[in-house]
Formats: sequence, structure tokens, C-alpha cells
Amino acid sequence: MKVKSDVTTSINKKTFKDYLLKAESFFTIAKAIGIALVIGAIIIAAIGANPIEIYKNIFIDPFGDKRHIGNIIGNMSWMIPVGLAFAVAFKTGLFNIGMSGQMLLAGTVGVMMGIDGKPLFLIIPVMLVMGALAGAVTGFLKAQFNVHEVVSSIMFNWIIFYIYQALIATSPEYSTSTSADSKQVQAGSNFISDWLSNIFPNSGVNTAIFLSIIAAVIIWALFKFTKIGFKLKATGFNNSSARAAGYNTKLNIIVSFAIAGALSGIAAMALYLGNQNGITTLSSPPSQGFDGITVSLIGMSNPLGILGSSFFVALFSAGKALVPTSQVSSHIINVIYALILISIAMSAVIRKPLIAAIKNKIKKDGGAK
Amino acid sequence: MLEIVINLSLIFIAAISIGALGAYFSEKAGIANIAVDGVMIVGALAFSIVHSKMPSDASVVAMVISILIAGVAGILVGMLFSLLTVTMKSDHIIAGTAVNLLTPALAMAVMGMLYNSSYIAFNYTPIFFVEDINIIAIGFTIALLLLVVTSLIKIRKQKFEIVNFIKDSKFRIKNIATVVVFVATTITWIMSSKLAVTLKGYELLQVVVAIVILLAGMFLINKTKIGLRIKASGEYPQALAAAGVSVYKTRYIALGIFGFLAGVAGALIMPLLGSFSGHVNGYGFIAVAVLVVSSWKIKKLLIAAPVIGVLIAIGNSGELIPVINMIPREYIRMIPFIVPIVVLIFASKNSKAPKAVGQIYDKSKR
Repeated sequence: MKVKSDVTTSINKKTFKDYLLKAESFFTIAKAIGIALVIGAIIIAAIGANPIEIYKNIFIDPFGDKRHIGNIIGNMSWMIPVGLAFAVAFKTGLFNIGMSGQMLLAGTVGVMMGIDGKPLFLIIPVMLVMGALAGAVTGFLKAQFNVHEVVSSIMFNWIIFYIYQALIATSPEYSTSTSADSKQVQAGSNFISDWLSNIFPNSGVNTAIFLSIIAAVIIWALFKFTKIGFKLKATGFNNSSARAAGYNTKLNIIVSFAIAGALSGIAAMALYLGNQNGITTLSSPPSQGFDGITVSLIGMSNPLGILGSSFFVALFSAGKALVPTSQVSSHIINVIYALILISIAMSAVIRKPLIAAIKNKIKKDGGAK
Repeated sequence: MLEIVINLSLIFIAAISIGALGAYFSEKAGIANIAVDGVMIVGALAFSIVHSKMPSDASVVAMVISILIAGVAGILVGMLFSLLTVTMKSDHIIAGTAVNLLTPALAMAVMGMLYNSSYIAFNYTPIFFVEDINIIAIGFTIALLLLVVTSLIKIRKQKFEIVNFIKDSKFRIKNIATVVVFVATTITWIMSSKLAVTLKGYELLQVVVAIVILLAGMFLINKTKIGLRIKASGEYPQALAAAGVSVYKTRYIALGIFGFLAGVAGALIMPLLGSFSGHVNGYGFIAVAVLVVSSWKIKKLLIAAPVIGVLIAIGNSGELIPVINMIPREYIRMIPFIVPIVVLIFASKNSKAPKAVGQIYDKSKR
């Protein structure tokens, strides 16, 4: 008994070093974003615009108008769950780049039901199940047949994209007559509510934001307090020793992907039944799925961190619309956005000197302790 | 109508097999690669820009030059990708996603600055039409001969016995490839002469060149020093380092080859896209799919690329074929993505993927 309590306290006890490392990884991310923004500023200046002016448009101007604040919240409503979907799999040691497909499958079914005017309490569970199913298939293939999840995710993204095209984009029932856009979801079946829309008029704000925040808290609690979360983390940390400890790692992989898929389903609700209120024409799997990777990496795969990082990314994409296109085209802003991801991908090297410095300091201070 | 399907297949087979070969070099060197699509976009962009500057009656040489420039542009992106994955040690999948995110935005930005529009029109004027079908037969015969010759080169090393040639599983696949090409030639030849189809010589030239490049790739990876080093850096980089060879340098070279080939593939896909508008319809992912189907073997690539190429061509112009037009084209387009998963389910027990693929190599760690 005593041994066990010792182990648990040593796991739960945060040392000064842990806090330092945590703060350090936050500063690494901030540094990476800073580097990307500086390179972006150089690009903007090379084109002949004023970088300070442009960054003011992106990061400060959205707060001046209720409509833009509403857009930020509307973007956050789908960015939080899609970031969580990447993070949950990441914590289990898996790469989920199939959020696009998982979202689109849930979205296709949900939008079809929404156009038919089915009630929301029916749509929500169906979308959750569809998303979870799309994720669980990837997990099952990984667990049972050792099919690499990245390869199968890419394939499923495109398979589901063509399912969407067959069911919605080319269907006379569900697409508008003029384009491949889907019809609008009926009023009772979406997440748009009058009281929120009255506060933030003409924006993409929707009530699914509350669902997303609840999901973030649940996922945080799942990994912090529950046995399932611990098992998932153990599987991700070291698959072999998790198996040796008696955990069913195959099941854990499937469960992790199913949870990720269900979160993508929530993202689909926020995006297709709230923000867009329908599916606008797609020429490839939705790019919103890949935004989840950026959100999750900036948020350090921590559910509460993702709440903050999704605010940053949502602000960025809301502010993007405010940059005058006569000065800088929106594509340049997209380049800067991609630079942020590239810079964060490189942060393994950026953070190295800092970690070494901290370790040296601890060695000097603590000695043999 | 059949003419269109055949021509489309030829374009696809050429572009996708070269794109898949690019990814092959990258994965053989141990870099998991999902950035093929991004590099193809840059190749297509460079090709479109150069091609639009050329007079409309440009010769084959001019066409080849613009394809090579696309390859050079691809090398630049390949170097960015290797900077991320090799020097900066970032995760390969995240780096690949970042490149896939960056290049379409970059392409759109460049087009906006150069042309102030969101697409580049591509006036595809076929360089020469081949009325005489015999030239096609000649082209395929050259490919066939090359296959046979390469088989013979291998056999020369052991005792030549015809039984060996048939029984040995190593040669069986190549024999199948040879037979497939032969049958395809015959069918094409008979069909074309029956239906009086006019084939464009340019597409055919592409396929022949693609097959030659694939065979050259096979030679490079199996017979040359750098090829063996690339293989070693994908299987067990520490051993390569212990032999005194720089793993980083080897991977940079492999990713340079990848960039060139993927850029060329992006240029070759252009006749099919019609105009360039910042994406290549996700054909880069099909190249990855083809590589997976061929289970990291160039010999199998020679079979997988034609099969999937024909499938995509049918998916793109299936409404022209009598029976197939009953099925919605979306479901046909799905097939190239379903096949790899099925293949992986059956093949993953004895996976042929390079052992160290996707792992970040750090010189200071053992």
C-alpha cells in the first residue's frame, strides 16, 4: 500500500522543473509564431505594404466590430473540437489527419437530415456516431491489420469526399440549382439562435460553441482524472509497456480514434449546421480539418491550451477578411498562416538550447538531488 | 470517345508513376512523404508560367525545357521539405502537411502578383498527331525490350536456366509486367486499328519516357552507390552513419530526386487539368496511393500505375463508355483510394515499407 501511494504522489507531485518545462514549451510556441510573423512581415514589406498596418488589421481591428467578434466565436466553435480531435489521437501516439473526412461524413449526413427538417435532438447523436464511425474504422485498421493511420486517413478523406459529392454536390434534392452548394439547413435543425445572432449580427456565431467548450472540458477531465484517459496516454507513451501492463492497446487505439471522430462530428455540427449553415462547394476534402493540426500544435495538445490557441487561429482567420485586398492579397495571408505551422513544426530545434539551459541550471542548483 | 479515355490514361500513367517514383525515393531514404501533392502544385505552377511565355507553336524541345524547369522548381520545395525534416528534425507528417498547406497559397499569391488572376490558362496544342498507329506499336515495343533486357541483366549473374526465369519469384513479377505491357499493346493496337482511333504521339512519348525513368530509378536504387546508401538510410540509418556516410546528406540527395520527379509529375498532369488554378485535384495523393499499392517496389509500380491510371481516366470520362456510365462517376473516382486500403489489409502482415520510415534521425542519439 505504501509503495502505491508513493508512486501516485510522485506522479501527481509537480516539481519546479515540470513547471519550468511547461512554461518553456509555451514560450517555444510563442517564439515560433513570432518568427513566422517576422518572416511574414518581411514578405509584406517586400510587396510594398506596411506590415504593422496589416498586422493591426488582422489582430486588433476585429475587436472593433460586433460582427467580427461574432465571427471569431463562430470560427472557434469548430476549431476547438477539430483541434481536440487531433490532440486526443496525438496523446495516444497516433496521427489523426483524417479530421477532414470524419467532419465531412458527419456533415454530409447531418446536412441532409437538416435540409429535410429533422429535429436537432435526432441529428446530434447521428452526427456523433457517423464521425466516431469514420474515426473508428481508421483505428480498427491500425489495431487489427497494422495499416498505418496516416495512409488510411488520407485515403478515407478522399473516399468520403467523393461520397459527399455523390450525395450532396451532384444531387438535385440537396444542392442548389445554380451551384454545388448545398441548400440551407432549416431553421429548427441548426445551431443558429436568435438571441446570439442579435448580440453579434450578421456573423457566423452559433450555439455549438457551448457544445465545443463542454467537449474541451470533458476531454481535459478524461485525461486528467479517468482510468480510460490514463490507459490511452500509456498506450501513446509506450505501446509495448502498456501491453505488458495488461492494457488492451488494440482497443485503446480504436477508442482513441472513435473519440477523435466524435469530436470531428461536433466540429461538423458547428461548421455545417452553424457557421456555414450548409456545405459550400468543395473541390477537395475540407481544409478546416487541417486547421485542427495547427490549433492542436499551438495548444500543445492540451485541451485547455486548445481553447486559447483556437482563439488565436480564429482571430487570425477573422482578421484575414479585414486586410484590404488592394494592398495584400488574401493568398499572402494564407502563406503567412502556413509559415506559422512550418515554424511550429521546426520548434523541436528552436526549443533545444532553452531546454539545455534549464537542465544545466537544475543540475547546478540541485546537484545530486 | 475511346480515344479520349486512352489518351487520359496515358497522361495519368506517365504523371502518376513519376510522382510515385519521387515519393518512392523519399520513403526509401526514410522520410515519410505526404508532400507529393504540394510539390506537384509548384511543378505545375512553374510549368504553366514558362509554358504561357512560350509561343503557341513551341517545339518538343521547348516543351521538354519547361518540364525540366518544373522539375527544378520541385527541387526547391524538396529542399524546403528536407530542411524541415532532416535538419530541423520536425515530424515528417506535420512537415508534409505544412508543405501541402503552403504551396497552394504560394501558387495563388504568385499568380496574383504575376497575372493578377486566380488561374493560368493552359493552351494545350498537341505537338504531333500520330495517324499512323505503327509508331505507337514501336513505342511499346521499345518499352517491352527494355523490360526484357533488364531481366536478362539480372539473370546473367546466375546460371541462366529457363526454369529459373519462370520459377523464381523475383523474376515472376517482372514477367507479369512484361506480359501486361505486351497484352496492353496488342489490345491498343487492335482496338485502334478497328476503331480508327487517332492517338496523340505526345502522350505516348510521355509514357515511354516514364517507363524509361522508372527503369532508370530501379537501376539507380539497386546498382549505384548512392542508391544503396539511400536504401540503407531508410532501413537502418545508424548503420549508414557507422560506415562513415552522412545520413543527412544522403537524405538531402534523396529528397532532391523526389522534388525533381514530383515537379515533373506536376508538369505532366497539366494537359489534363486544362488550366492551373492553384491545385492539382489531389493527384499527388493518388501518387502516394500508387506507391502504397505497389508496396515500395518499382516492379510492382509498373503494374499498379497503369491499372490505377486507367481507373482514374474512366472516372474522369466514364460517361463516354456505354456500360460504365450507369454508375455515378463519383463511385468510380473513389476506387483508386479504396484499393490501397484493401492492399494494405492483406499485405501489412509482411510489410515491405522501409523500416526507419517516419522516424526522425538524430546524429547525437543512438
